[in-house]
Amino acid sequence: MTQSEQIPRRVLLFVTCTVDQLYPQIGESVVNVLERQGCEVDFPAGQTCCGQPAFNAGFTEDAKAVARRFLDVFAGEDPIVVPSGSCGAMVRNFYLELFHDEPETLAKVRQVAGRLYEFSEFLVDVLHRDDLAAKMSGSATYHQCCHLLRELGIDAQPKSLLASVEGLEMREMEQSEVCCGFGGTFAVKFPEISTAMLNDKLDYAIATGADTLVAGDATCLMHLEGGVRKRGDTLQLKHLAQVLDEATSTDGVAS
Amino acid sequence: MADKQDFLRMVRTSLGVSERRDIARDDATSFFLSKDEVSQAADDIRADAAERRTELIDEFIHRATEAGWNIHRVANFEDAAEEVTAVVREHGATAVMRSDHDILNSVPLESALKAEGVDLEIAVREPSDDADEDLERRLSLREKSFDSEVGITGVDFAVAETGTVAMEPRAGSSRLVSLTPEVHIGVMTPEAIIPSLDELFALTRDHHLSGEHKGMINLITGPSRTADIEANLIIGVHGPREVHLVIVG
Amino acid sequence: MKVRTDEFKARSAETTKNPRRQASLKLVYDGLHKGRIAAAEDTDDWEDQRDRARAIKWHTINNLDYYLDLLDKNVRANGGNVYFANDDAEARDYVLGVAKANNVKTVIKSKSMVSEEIGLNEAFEEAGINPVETDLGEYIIQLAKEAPYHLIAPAIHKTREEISDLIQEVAGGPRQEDPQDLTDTARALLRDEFRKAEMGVSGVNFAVAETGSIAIVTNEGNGRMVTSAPRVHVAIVGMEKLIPSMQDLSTMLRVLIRSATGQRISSYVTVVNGPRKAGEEDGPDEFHLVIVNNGRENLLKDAQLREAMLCLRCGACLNACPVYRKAGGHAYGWVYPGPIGAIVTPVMTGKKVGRDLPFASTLCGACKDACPVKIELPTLLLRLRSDLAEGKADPKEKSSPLLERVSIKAWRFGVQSPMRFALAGRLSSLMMAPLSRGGWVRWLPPPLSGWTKSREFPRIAGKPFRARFRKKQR
Repeated sequence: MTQSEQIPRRVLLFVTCTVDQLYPQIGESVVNVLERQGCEVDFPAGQTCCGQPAFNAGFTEDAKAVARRFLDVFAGEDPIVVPSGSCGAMVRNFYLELFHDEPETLAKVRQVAGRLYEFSEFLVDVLHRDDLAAKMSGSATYHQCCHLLRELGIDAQPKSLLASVEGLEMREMEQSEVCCGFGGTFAVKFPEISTAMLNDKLDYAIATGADTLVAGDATCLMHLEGGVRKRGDTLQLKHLAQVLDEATSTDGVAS
Repeated sequence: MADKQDFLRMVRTSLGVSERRDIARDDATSFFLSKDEVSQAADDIRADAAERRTELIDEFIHRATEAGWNIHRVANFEDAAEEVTAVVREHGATAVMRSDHDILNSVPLESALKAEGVDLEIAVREPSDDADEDLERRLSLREKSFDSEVGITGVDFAVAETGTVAMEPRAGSSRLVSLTPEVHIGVMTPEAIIPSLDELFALTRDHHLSGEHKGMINLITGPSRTADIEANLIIGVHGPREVHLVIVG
Repeated sequence: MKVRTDEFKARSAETTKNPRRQASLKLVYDGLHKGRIAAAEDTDDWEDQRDRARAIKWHTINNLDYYLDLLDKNVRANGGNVYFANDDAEARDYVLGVAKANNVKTVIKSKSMVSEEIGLNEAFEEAGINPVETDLGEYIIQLAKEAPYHLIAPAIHKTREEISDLIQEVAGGPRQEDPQDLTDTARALLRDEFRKAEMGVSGVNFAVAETGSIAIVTNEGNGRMVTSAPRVHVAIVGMEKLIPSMQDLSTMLRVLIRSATGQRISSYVTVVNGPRKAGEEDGPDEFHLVIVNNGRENLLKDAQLREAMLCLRCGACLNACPVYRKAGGHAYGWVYPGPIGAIVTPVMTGKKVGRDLPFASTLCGACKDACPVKIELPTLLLRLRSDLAEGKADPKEKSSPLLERVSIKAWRFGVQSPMRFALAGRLSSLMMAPLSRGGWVRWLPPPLSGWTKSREFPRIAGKPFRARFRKKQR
């Protein structure tokens, strides 16, 4: 069997509620990149949210109700791609916790979680593409989103994808693995701590002199970009999918 | 006052177990090894360490140096006495104390130091059957330990993994001689070296199970240090600032 | 010690605005955190060591009654005394009783977090006994009359100028600011105390059940002084600190010390097998081990929270935690700061009063990675959040504010249907329109103003992804 025969063509996109409502352009970039790699992307229209906001706030019962729905919407056999480490971790790791005492649901969780891949992970580990023949000029620094790095253990994949972009100079920032201070409701409940963390993150990113800060999660980007705008910094913020979309697009611009 | 039985009952209730029970063997801990197994392991450790001596000496010296020990390798006990004397001389020390560890009785320290005009004090008291008198003598020894500038001791074990020396205080081997002076000099032979902390605690456990244990086991690795002021590493807080190991043979 | 967990928000906010404290807290990352990572990378079988340490601790905690009983028997067999203290008052009274029976005037102490828990120094002072902390960091905060800021670096928040003031006040003489000079002065001051103290009080890193031994890890040598120079030694231990066998010490010391300071081993590890044996030249005539509950049973009782009993108090989770590194140690309001403190403090002292603590985390997972015994700290924090939000901590009163509960219900209703979800998005987008410029909102009303004070918020897209996707498909 050749490699191309093993590669799945049809994928289900779990776009996440944040991307759907706040960053639809990231979703479009994900679709563009996957399609250019020969995938046929389907968007299960019943999807909304994975339940993480309630789970993180301690509302376990509400989170369970929403999670059950998610499992139904994403039933099937095709691989699921999600452009978020955090929502990916919710399904892959925290659903196990949420349903630890419900064996039947747990079986469903394992079935769905076993098919769910984070965007960069899918490209590198499933499609075996760590070089998309991408080109782009400029410089970037990469922020390692917490759940992507520590819950899912995805570290090398996004870095190798970025490193493969011809013309894009990558500059490592200090404390690139440290949290940006978002943490869901944490950012509102403890604004001073959250802001202090955010400012450190932005200061370290800016200190690299890179023009773009790249991350793998729309929620972190929302936090970082909100800070950049308030501070009046010129740093650009991009999701990895946007960088790859732009760098593989024939007209050189992300749609 | 909390009664022991009440306390244990509280723990059992919290754990959800009702009464005393036999516990299931778990090989994560070494607890379930029998006395004979431990004793056999101790013999194996000694044999293995003897076989790997050259390699262990190198590793020990590497780690000990890294940890801040000044290492002196000498061929015989006469040279050991010379090395010790040189350190004492360098510090211009006059208050020098040594323990009565077996190995030190082979090192001609008294004469070597005498030549420097230093009277070597031995950290041993004459035990007394009278408790008050015995305490008196121990306190006097403690005072002398605090007043000493250089302390010289033997070493019971040396751990290659970490560059650690271990001592078990006993009659003749004071706890304080390696602690209170600003300079500590340990004298040892390569036979003291064992591979790692695993072997150290297997051997001391064997002592324990055989009823031969002492009041304490002191593991010493380099000089006293702290990083409590703005995370600056400072050498020499309450223990010695300068530490030496003289390896004989 | 007084519980001040309800002041977390105010005290942490204050610390974020204090540049001196922020500079100190950065040292925790640059020094201790990076040191731990380097030590772990330098250890070939690091993951195996962690797994083994975790398994040893789980086995012990799950059979704690058995090992406590064994420890008690073996300490007594070694000639020591054991006292089981259910709460802080019992522990204090016992230690004071030992001091009085021995006519003690000065007590030298080496670092013990349990001693902080039970307020032992205050009790000594009230009884006219002089307690002297001898770990340099603890000595500094004793002079400053403060609580420890960190589990292993209690005075990490103090600048050399502040330390200089504190030392000069006791020592007199010319002002010193060099850390070496300050340390030398403290050494000289504490020497006198070591010589004259009648009693030593220490903490315990590991209590070995099978041999009735305790192991104490120090770098300064004060732990050795405290256990060797005075006539009486009292060791205080939280009831979770047991291990079964002396042979288990090698694994436990490896993971503890690398995680705490990044060293392969500390300068000193002192294993005390009870009082001085007959014939020994020095060492205490009396040895007492005080085993303390003080709310730990609340952790033990709960099959999930019990995992927090595996904690070795190495401080690695504090060093790894970006929230601790902004909030500072005192904000946590009791003895144990950082992620582990946010778990054990509310459970030991009362969940309701410590209700902010489990929420003071971004769940970034850095603590879990750093923990030598792999405690699932984020999961335990989530569990406590759930107890609080759903009223399991106190059925009479749900701890989350009404607005939050209503919002969650509304959210649940919204996300249960894609149509409602899209409609809610559409409505929000319209509502945000007057507040936004260039697709971003600059101001939101409380409590969301917490966000917009320092960050803009993206306006909800007029056309969400799902609509764009449908259009594209057509």
